[in-house]
Amino acid sequence: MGAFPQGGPGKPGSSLSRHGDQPVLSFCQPSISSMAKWRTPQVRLQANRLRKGYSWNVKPQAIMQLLDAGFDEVIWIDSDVFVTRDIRPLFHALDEAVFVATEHSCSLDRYDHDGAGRRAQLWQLSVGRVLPASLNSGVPG
Amino acid sequence: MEWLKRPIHMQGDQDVLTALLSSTEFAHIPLKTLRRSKHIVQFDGVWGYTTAGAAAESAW
Repeated sequence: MGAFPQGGPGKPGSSLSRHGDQPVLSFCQPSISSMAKWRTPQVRLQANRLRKGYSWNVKPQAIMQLLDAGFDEVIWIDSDVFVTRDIRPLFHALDEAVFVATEHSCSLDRYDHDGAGRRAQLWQLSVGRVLPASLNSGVPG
Repeated sequence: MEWLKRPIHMQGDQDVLTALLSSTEFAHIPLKTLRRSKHIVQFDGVWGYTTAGAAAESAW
């Protein structure tokens, strides 16, 4: 499993280290010295820049790069996530075809529900299924 | 464009993700959702962990 927070104050790396021994690949900017604090036995800093991708676009680019590198599973964890327990049971025994995402918060002003697939409709895509809630991309895998 | 002024389907990457996984082209992809309150608490004021969410979690 490759799990990697996107780089930030170091919370995911350190909290992952406290809850399980899963390997963590941390994509980071090597110039940010605080990243050095993430160095634990199972945390490996990936200091090489991605071939492309920036801002929010970095997520699919980073995930694809690790899948191309041979990782069977990749879980992205945003840098503002605190891990409070071993997350591996959430992903255990899932078929490799399964995509994991988080329900979005239920804030009314953020349009929790996707209606009859209205985001797809607005992108002029035909709706194939209606999700029970819109998705949050903080922990995709 | 300021976040809250964007159209709902263009607010962020997750809105595009929702659109794609809802679309006919990708509707066959099995999806597991991490449940709010049960699996993740989001930093979103009172909406991050609601009474309803807590009740639902305790009922699981």
